[in-house]
Amino acid sequence: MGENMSNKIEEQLSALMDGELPEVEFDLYLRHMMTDDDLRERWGRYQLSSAAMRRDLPSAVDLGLAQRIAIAVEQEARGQQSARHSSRRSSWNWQRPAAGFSVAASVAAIAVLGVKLSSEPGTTQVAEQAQSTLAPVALQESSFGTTVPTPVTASNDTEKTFNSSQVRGLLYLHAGQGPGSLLGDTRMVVHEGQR
Amino acid sequence: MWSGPLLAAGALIAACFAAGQSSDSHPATAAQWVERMVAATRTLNFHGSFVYFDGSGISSARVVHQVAEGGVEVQRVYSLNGTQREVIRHDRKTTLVLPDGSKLTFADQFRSSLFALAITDNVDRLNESYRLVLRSEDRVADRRCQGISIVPVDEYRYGYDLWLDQETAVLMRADLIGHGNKRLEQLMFTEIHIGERTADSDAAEAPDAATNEPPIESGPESLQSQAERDWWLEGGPPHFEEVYYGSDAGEHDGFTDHLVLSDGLATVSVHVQPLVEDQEPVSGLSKMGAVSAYAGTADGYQFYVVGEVPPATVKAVAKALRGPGDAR
Repeated sequence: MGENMSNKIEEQLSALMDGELPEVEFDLYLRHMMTDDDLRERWGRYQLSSAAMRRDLPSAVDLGLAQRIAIAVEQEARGQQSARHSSRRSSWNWQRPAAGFSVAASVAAIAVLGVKLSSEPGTTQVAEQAQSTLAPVALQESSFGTTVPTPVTASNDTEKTFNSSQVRGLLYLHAGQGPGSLLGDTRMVVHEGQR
Repeated sequence: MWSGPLLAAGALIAACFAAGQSSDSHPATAAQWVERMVAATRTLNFHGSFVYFDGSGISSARVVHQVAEGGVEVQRVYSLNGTQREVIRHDRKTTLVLPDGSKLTFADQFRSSLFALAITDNVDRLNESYRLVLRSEDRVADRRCQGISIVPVDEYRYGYDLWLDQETAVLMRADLIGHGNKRLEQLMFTEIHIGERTADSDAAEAPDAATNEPPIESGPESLQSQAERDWWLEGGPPHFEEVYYGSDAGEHDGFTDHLVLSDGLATVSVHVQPLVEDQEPVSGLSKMGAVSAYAGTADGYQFYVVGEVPPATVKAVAKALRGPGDAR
């Protein structure tokens, strides 16, 4: 493998870990990973580093340089995103019920949260800024050409009349109280994590 | 809720796997593969990392699923980058661990599962709303997989492309397909260990973590008759049936009705609460990835409809919702 190609793959691995790999490269890269033992091992090491930073691994595991690099990258990322995350934490505090707090109160908090966001210019600005940093990604078609019927009458999918924090709160209630699924649980852990 | 034959099949698969044997005979139809997948994800231990894509970014996460004696399941899902968040499902209790370590706990009305087919008593129920199609084989996380498509019959639900491990039928990759055959979400394992109990602390923490805070109860588990309650549906999107109704009336300061509809695969939740003084009503449609939400008001109440369904579906549910001011 040429040096340029190796560098490219390394950049893609880094982008994948950071959640910044363009979707057009996503499938290609994952297929590459599945046929490249070395690449899979590196992915595994990076994942272990991430888990270790969360103290999820036994202390006996020595991750060496990979861990130190990952910690440094993580700290850098945290510094860049601190304002965004602090805003979201405050959002969650609104939605977190105390012991015995009812679901009704949780839903009320979602509604109140919307008012809070729209009435605090600084908070709204942070939320909008966070959204604008996400590059639009072109959606790819089904691998199998699976056909999903399209509505006969045009549906305005872009209509948006209440904010993402409110939808997120509803998503948690839906996923938390409904029948669980891996997709539903994943939505709960990632939507606040990197968005 | 969970049929005996499926449990028996799952136990058989688990037993074969534990003994280091693979199943020699692969299911012949897509429906059989789905049945086997549901059983496998209930009865097998597995843990692994996966990537998740929803059109706005790519994230990585990890799942640890372990089955204790008596079939009690413990499952943890947590993000591997970004802010630390975690969902723990232990039997019928769901705990969301927030970045500051605090916990939000729900008492589930349904058994949790890796894939939302668990509320379906049998896969035949899916035939009303979907076509199950056997697809080609592929490899995911270095394991041979069988491709399957779940194709919706109308515009009120999304489709799925699934890749199931040929040896165990564990779900290895799932693509949620929207209108125009576009992928709305994609979840794919990059490494997985099936049939093993993890040696790290992942699952061992789960039971304790899930009991630190009293769960938020949603009310009685049984479906109440229409005459006994204030909110119900009249019509609605085709093939969606009510699978749960609960009310907090009299138990808390607030009053919330909670309905769950399902077509056997997709689910839609409806939450209702009285509008309180100074509360600004919310109305209209919003989306987050594959999740659609619709809010509206009726008779002094605020209602929310949310689910991993197209916008037309949450709108149809909202249109069918009837409350105290409606004639029965």
